[in-house]
Amino acid sequence: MEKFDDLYKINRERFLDNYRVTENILKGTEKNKVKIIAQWLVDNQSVGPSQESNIEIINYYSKYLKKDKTLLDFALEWIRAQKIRSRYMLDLIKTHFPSDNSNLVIDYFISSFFIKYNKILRDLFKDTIQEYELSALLEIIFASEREQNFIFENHMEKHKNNPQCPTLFKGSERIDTSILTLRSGLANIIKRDYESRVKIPP
Amino acid sequence: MHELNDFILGLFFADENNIIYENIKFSKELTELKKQELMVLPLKFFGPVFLTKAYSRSFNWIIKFIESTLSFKTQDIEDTSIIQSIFNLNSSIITDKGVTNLFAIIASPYTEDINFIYKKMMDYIHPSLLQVRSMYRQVVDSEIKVQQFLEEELERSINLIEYSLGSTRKIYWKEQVKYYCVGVIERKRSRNLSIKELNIYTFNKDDPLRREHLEDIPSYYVMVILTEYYEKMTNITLDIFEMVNVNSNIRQIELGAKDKKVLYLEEYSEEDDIKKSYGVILIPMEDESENVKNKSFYKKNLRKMLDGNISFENFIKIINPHFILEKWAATSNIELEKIQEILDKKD
Repeated sequence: MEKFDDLYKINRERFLDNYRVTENILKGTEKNKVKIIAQWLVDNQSVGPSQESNIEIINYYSKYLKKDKTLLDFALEWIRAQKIRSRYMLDLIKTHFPSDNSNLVIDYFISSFFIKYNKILRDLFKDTIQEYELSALLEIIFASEREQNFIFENHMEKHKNNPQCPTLFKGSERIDTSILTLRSGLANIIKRDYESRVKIPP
Repeated sequence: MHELNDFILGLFFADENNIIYENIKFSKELTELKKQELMVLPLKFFGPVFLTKAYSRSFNWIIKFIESTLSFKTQDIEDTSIIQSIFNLNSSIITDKGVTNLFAIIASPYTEDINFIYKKMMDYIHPSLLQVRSMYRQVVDSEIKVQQFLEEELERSINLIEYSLGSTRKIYWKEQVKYYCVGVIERKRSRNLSIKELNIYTFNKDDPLRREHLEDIPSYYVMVILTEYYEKMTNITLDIFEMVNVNSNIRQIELGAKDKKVLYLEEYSEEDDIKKSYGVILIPMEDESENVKNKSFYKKNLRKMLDGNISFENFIKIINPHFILEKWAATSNIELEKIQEILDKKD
């Protein structure tokens, strides 16, 4: 969708400059890089459920990062996801769908806003990451900042047990199920956002 | 994104074995007879898609887009409640077992942003269908159940396309592409069918240019069949849905293969109950040669010739001076076989 081309752009240098300020302030403390990034995301960027949860999330996914990707690359993708979320919310409050067709709402927003993000996110990780782990991550990084009572273990368990998001192989080759993963990760968010939106008359 | 009044929306999925699943939505009540006619529509629309694949001289050529214009059958019609656009889109994805096709027929009261719908089909709907099929093949043990899930996904897909309809067509800024013409198709038909002609004009059969450009099109045989066939099919569709006051006229067909593209443009005129249509088979070319022109050049000259401002002989000279006026008829099977044997022969 041409009109959303700018949606995926973030000013990487500006965010990195901003991070360096936080890093310099916290340099003297005993905090390691994961803790500094987790705090920066929550305090400066309003991203993530809480510092503690952010630490768990970054630690968990860091083991899958490709060799040429850093923890900051991961953090920047989280910020990019939240930028996409803001733009998607603007569209969501203006859009009306026929009642009781939640699949249509999910398909419309995934195909319009999130489909391109799939490649960006996958580019961070090694092939050993499972589809349920990507689906769980999608639900984390696109969640509303208001998200409360987040428990990382429970969240991962929920996605692990979702049969709609399998990691499939044909021989040694992984089968592309990326759209099913997007649906699995984003369906609840989209449904919840749509149901609780402030409606603007057409 | 608006409420549609008169519309037809058909979505047909053909798997690697050409088994077809379909979902069709429409705004009118249909009789049982019309519903039966509707059942064979998907296969008929897929016919040329399969044929193009089978009869392409090289590569896996696929039909991507077919658009028709509409005209009133008589001049005294006042009914304004008619569709504004009718077009077909086809997305092809190659799997390890062959080619799968997702074909849409769309008739709508709006001009429609075709690129927007096509992108949804290619980037989301078609991959979703394949992924749902892959997933259920691994988790359920019966192919019938897999088919049921596939049909559910097709229903989900058609809802998304229906919801995406109603946007006004946008002009997309593109780099000016220039084209070279490799053939002209002539179609003449009278209402009572006493006149029915289908001819193709191109290079002399011995001209090296003919052989050179064979790689740039599926085949002359395929190209000559597509126009006549899809115009007829679109009219059959309109008839099934009782949109009887309009006729369809092929305007544009796009085909693609790897990095290759063929654009077919057609214009028509109707006089004394005889409809004459002329179309040009174009291939993109970057050369600065004087015979490489932009799309509007071909459209303008097609129109000039149909309006009688230039003769057909002059038109052929203007379009491509290497063409000859030898006519290759394509109405009978024997004539079509001759095209395959001579025009489509490389050596």
